[in-house]
Amino acid sequence: MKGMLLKDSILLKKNMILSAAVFLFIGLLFVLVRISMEHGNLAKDEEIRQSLLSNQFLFYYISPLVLFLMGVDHVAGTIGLDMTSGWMRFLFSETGDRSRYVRGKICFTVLEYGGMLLIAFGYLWLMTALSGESITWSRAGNLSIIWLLCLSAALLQSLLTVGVENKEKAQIIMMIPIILLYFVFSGVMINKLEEMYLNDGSTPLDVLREELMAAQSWLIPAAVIGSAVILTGGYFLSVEFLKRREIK
Amino acid sequence: MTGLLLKDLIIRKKMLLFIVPCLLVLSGWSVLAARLDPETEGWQVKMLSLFSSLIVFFMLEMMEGSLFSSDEMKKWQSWIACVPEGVKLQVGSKYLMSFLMTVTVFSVCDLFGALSGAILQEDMTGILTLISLLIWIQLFIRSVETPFLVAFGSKNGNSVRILLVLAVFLGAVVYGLFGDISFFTSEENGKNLVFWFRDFKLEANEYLLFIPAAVLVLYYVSYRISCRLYLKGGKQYDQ
Repeated sequence: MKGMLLKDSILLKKNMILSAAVFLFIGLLFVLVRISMEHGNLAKDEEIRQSLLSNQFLFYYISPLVLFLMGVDHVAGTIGLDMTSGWMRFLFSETGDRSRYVRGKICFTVLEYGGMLLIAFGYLWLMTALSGESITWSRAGNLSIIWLLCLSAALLQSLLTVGVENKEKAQIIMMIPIILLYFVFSGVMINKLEEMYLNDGSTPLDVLREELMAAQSWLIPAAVIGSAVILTGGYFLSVEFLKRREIK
Repeated sequence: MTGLLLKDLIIRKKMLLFIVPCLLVLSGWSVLAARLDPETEGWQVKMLSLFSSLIVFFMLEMMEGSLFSSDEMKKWQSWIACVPEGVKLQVGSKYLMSFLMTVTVFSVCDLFGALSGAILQEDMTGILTLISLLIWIQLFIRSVETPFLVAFGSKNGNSVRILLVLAVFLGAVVYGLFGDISFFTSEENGKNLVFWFRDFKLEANEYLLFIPAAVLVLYYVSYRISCRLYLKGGKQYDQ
């Protein structure tokens, strides 16, 4: 297990550095905008400042979201590489339980995303401190939902890659429910938007914020339970596929 | 030379099949807007032409950045270096390909811009000149960055390029957020900035005619430098 974790960390070193660099760059832009809202050019125009203030919840979550999304493909990439480089022959020639391989990949994903969550909370603390606020349960909850969904997506893609033995196929299979979810979500949002526009002329971002706040009480448990069900099923299925596979 | 150009075209066959329709759609936006919506105003089409040309500019920048990478993957430079005048031909073919791509793409943008102007019976001379200027800006960027790509390999060269672009972008953002931007934000000048683009006229800017000549000289100098650096760069990535 330790060896596998070390191998994957070496394989993913560049990808992780790139993700961190992109996160830092986007985060830096938001930090600069936030400082400018108090001491720079953005502070001079009250209308723009108020508009940014009402939407500043986006500042807290966009950079972490980018970081989490960039990690979705990491472990699945190492599985794809294991398969194409012939490393699986080595795995199958070992006498131990093959499920160790899947557990190792899950362990690495959880460790990687754990590190990302710490960084994201550090960033959230910085942004809220710049705004003269603090990390509330609501903000921590929102960040946790985003983290959990991205972690689930990363694990699911890894398990799918093990199951279908092909990284590209796994990506295509993953895209289908995501596209469906996107259409359902945008359909719901358009309906909400029409209602709210009629009532008080809210902007799409206002609607998004309202919806997120309202859905938080059931979204966190639903996300936790849904992810747990999908991932447990995915784990057992991928282990079963791996056990039945012949050495090529 | 013809063979090398043909090779580059064949290697990029699939990419071109994807990119060319995208470029045509992007540069044809203004024509579609002018043709489909009779209420479209002249200045809107001008801005649309300029905007789509800028998107094309960045797409082209990405495409041309990959000119050297395919040869690196195939370890091409050792073979071409053995051919008489091989290095000059190889580097020359890349420069020529880059030049032809840039001129062709922006000529198409100009053509579509002129077409939309003709549909709306609007004088597009100024905006078409600005689009043509993008050719020389693109070639200027190529002149500067190609020697880096040749000397350090496309991977490291692209990293340097991305870092430079990000540094410039970050500098612009910091200036925009904290610097003196009264020229853009004042009631008078803020409007004039848009009108400057809209009412751009070549007659008032004759000095712009010297830009193509200067860029072409720089492009040639860049080619000569790249020829000298080619084998040095080859040693780095032919491992």
